Amino acid sequence: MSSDATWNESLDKYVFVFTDCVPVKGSAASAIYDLTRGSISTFPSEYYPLFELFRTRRLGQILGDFSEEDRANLRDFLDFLSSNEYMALVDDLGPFPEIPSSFNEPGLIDNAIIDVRSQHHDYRKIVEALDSLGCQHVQVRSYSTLFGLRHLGELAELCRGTSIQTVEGVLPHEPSLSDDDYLRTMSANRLLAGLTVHSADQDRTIRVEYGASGTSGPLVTIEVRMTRRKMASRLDCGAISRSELLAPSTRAVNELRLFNGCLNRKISIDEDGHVRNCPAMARSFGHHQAVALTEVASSSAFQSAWRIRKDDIQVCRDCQYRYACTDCRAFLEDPDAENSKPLKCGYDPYTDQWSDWRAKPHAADTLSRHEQRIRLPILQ
Amino acid sequence: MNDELEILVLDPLLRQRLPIGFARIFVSHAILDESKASLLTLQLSKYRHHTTFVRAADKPISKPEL
Repeated sequence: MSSDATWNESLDKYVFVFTDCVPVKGSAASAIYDLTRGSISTFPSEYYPLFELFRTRRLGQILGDFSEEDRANLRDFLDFLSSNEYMALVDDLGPFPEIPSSFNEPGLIDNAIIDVRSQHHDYRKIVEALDSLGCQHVQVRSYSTLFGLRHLGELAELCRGTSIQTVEGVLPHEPSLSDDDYLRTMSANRLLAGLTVHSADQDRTIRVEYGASGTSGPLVTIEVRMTRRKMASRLDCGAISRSELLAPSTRAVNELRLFNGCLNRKISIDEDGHVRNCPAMARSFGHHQAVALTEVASSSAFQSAWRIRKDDIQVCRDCQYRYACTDCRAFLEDPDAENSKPLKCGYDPYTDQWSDWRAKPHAADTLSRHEQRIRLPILQ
Repeated sequence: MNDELEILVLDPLLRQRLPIGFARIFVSHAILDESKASLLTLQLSKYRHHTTFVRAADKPISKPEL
């Protein structure tokens, strides 16, 4: 049976868009997030109002309200929804309630960043505080060989038996180390979930798969990614690209609807030992040796950054990818506007075009302004 | 079989400093026999233990330009 025949025989039915397929309105293009399959499809935003009609009118009523030419386009749109299994035809929409949009976490802190350059921090104190905060994921970013592979292994050992479930490293290349050294450290510490080696002599990936496949594959696979690019400082962060978009899930979309995708339940220690929401955020909450991380994380001043939602950010609020984007609040296109869009995002939702953010006018100047702000005296 | 309830002697428990809250004060052989019989008829499936390993955070912790 042709799709046209299907639609013509279903005029008394409702178009039910599955509750795990979430339409998200954008300016030029809108999207449907498939929360179960983790995929995003986009379509012209002119079609977005149809989702409201689907909730209130039967298919025959909707088709009857359009001209013959528009009806053909509408059928094409229905074919798109149907072929992607976003919808079904039903007699009654009542039995399909929406998925509740709530979000919570077991710990006050979910993840932490520790930056290291010219001085070590009190890692034992930090890990103990993170444990009491229920922190699950830690990432260490080293800009010098002061903190290398051996230290990463020791830190992972320190995290054993705590709430911390994964430790990731972004470390500079150490020419004295062989591939075996990296693999030995990674396999000896199962908390080590990922390692990126920057400033390497070539771009390559060391991978040990142990023959595992399917869903268990990523659990046992050890991967060390080496790149020639250099992570020189905290300024080399916050890049938003199409490949950085999250695969949508109920948890991720609910979090991003209510909280900031990057900063929510995050705590950071910058290279000088200061506690911040993110190492590149301007505001410091004191040196980690002088303040209690638990008190900082509990303060409303610290948590206020957690609630900067994409729906409240200029330009982003008109972007169909806003619930799949983890945002960046450290580097803003307009450093003076708290709700400015991220500097390092090259997507324009008004034209549906991606471009290199470095090509933006004054991008380099804006970045250096952000750098100067980070180096201002501590703002308590 | 003796169905009479007997007073459990607590002295050995107290001497071992065992908490008497865990002790059965009265013992009936009938009760014990019944529990033995029910234990024999239990059919347990093979014990399985499942642990979920988390090998990565749900979302990127940071977004380095690498």
